[in-house]
Amino acid sequence: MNHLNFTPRFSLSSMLWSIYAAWPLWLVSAFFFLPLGAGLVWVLLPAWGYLPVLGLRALGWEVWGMVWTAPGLWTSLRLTLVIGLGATLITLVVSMLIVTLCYTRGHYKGLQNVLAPLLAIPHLTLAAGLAFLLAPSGLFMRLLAPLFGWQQPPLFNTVPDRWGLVMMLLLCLKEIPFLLFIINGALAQVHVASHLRVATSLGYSPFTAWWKIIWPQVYPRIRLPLFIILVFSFVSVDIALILAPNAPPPFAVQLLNWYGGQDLAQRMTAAAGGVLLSALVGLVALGWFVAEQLGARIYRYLVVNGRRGGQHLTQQIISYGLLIGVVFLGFGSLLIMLVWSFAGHWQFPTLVPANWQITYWVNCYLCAPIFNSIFIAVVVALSAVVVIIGLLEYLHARQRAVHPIWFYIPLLVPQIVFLFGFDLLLLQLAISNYWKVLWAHWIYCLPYVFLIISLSYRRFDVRYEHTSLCLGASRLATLIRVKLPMLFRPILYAFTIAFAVSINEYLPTLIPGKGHIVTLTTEMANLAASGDRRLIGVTGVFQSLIPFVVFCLALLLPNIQARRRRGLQI
Amino acid sequence: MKQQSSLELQKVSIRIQGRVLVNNLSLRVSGGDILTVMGASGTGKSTLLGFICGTLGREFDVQGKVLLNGRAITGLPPQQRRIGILFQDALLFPHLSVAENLAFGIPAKTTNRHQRVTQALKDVGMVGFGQRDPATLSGGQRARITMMRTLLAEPQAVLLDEPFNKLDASLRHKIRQFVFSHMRRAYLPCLLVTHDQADADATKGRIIVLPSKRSKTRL
Repeated sequence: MNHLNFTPRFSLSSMLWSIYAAWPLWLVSAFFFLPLGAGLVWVLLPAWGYLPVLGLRALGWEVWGMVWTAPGLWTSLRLTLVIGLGATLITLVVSMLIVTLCYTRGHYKGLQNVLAPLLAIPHLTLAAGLAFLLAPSGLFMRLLAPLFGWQQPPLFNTVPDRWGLVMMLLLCLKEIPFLLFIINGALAQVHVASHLRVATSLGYSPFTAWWKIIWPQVYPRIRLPLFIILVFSFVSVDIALILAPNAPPPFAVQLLNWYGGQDLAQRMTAAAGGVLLSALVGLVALGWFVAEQLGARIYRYLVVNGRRGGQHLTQQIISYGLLIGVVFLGFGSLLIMLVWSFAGHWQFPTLVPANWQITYWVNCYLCAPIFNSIFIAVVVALSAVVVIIGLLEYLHARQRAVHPIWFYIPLLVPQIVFLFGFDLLLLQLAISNYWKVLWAHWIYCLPYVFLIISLSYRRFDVRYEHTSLCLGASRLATLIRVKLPMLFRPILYAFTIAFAVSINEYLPTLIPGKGHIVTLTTEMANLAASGDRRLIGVTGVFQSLIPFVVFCLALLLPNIQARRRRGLQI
Repeated sequence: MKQQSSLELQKVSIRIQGRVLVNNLSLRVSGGDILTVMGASGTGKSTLLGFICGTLGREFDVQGKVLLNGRAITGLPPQQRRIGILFQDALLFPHLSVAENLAFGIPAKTTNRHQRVTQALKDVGMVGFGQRDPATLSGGQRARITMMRTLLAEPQAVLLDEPFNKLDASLRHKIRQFVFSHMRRAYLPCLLVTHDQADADATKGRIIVLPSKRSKTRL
């Protein structure tokens, strides 16, 4: 008898082993994808009246009646639309102008060096700093005071303004460095230098060549991040609390007001409002897509009309102005925070404080928020890195891959909408607020960690791994002794980004934590509305400083590791 | 007036970080002629072409003049020199169709743009390819479209930067003859850079060899 058996053998132990080996997959599914899906369901159900914790189980349209009759609804939606769409469009155009200018004039490397620190400034710090610059008692008005003879701050409102222009400006200041970072990555995939050489040899000016040849190739590559910017601009709450008008506020803030109201039934109104906000964002994204298609037809005609273009002097002047504006307002916002953190008595309209103090620096006002921020960020970033490495190893061993789009979901779904559902889901689970906050942060950090590390995994030369395995090392030993040391730099970078994202999270701290977990970001949002400018300054500086220190360490450590290894140097 | 067209280099020297790449080079190419510049890798062949078409980086220290039809063009930006260039890669713009790539080359003042594109496709034996995605073309087809795009821009001289390098042997000879015959028919001064002797022989023209391993000497 032939004893060979070609039928796959199943045993309980092998099944248990394969379940155990798939631990990263289970973890990501259970703590990332499942809550995402469940969170969205738990927004939809209360929006149609189903909220068992209040004993409401009948589905219906009553909740929507409350939304439609809410005072100021249309003004609020219009404000959201103008701010969101305006900020996204301006961000796109200004970024394109700046890149075209700097690349053509040979300043592109300098641009990256200047704007990289701006990318790292937390948006709430930037928002508070911008308010310190533009407010009636802010630095700009102090500069103008001698011209107009002001002895008191002027009576008109600049921050917040009734049209949301300052909020739009802040969103642009925050998003332009982000988009430039994305564009930089996209440019690496396009043959910029050679295509420009061809176009100029055909008689096109470099500026015209950028608009006709480079941008049409780059745009499809930045479309998804552009939609992320669009969503963020529509649903941003923390910035709106500081810079947007409040009667009525942008719709996302209105939703938070409903959700945090005394009447628990208003949570259903908030859920329905969340669905409405998502629909609005979806419609705008659809409109954007249709406009893209129509615009592309006109653009194709312009591209091949043969016009070579000239020096584009007006474009150059405008672009220089915009670049200077972005850099000045960005760094100015940070600088004014630092000045206020040490300022003593500082009366309008003097340009410098009468005296200085360090009270808020030496007293431990911010000890608890600092500790919470760092603790949450470290736990979240570290666990996200470990789980994503585990997941990628699991997928790599089975020659499978996960499409990155799945990890983009938290960034594309309005944060406030998902968090309502997530919070209602968490009501069913008896876990502490601290765990809830950690979980919510983890969901928002995981996409960045996945995107960064998976990119490095794809670029990793698999022959190193094969060499190690052929030398007899186990998969685990190969991972620990070969792969991870070689990928140390991107892994640390992923950790840093996750750390910074966690430090900046406002709603994922506020909603699951019920306001009991205080971090630098929640403290900043509370203080910025009505707090002492000195304490706001100290909070803002800490909020920027902590991720900055981690960022410096992430730059330093791989260099120490690579100091005697030229192959690891970049 | 065709006899007057010429591309001329006068006492051109190019250095980078003290290393001499091109030393006191002078040459003249008349319309319809193809002059070959040969040399091993790193001898400054492509650098020389970059100097002629005006795309050389600021890190290079350059002396000498470029004259096109007797007019000095050394100080002009690339787009105003009217010098076409063909590279190793076809570099057809991937976001445009084949016809749009050709139309991109035609100057704005040209009135019958559509007919020019149709005629160009006919000239290269690719009628019906206008709406095709450049990525779906074969290497030879790409080379022909690239050359035609360059000619449609109405250059007064053409530089060939090892344009046949990436073609396989069977195609190479065919495309080489195709390009050279078009350059001669257009009566353009043409400067070919290559390290392949067969390319140089096929031009049936003059050959200049750039010496390799130049020492760090001052000019």
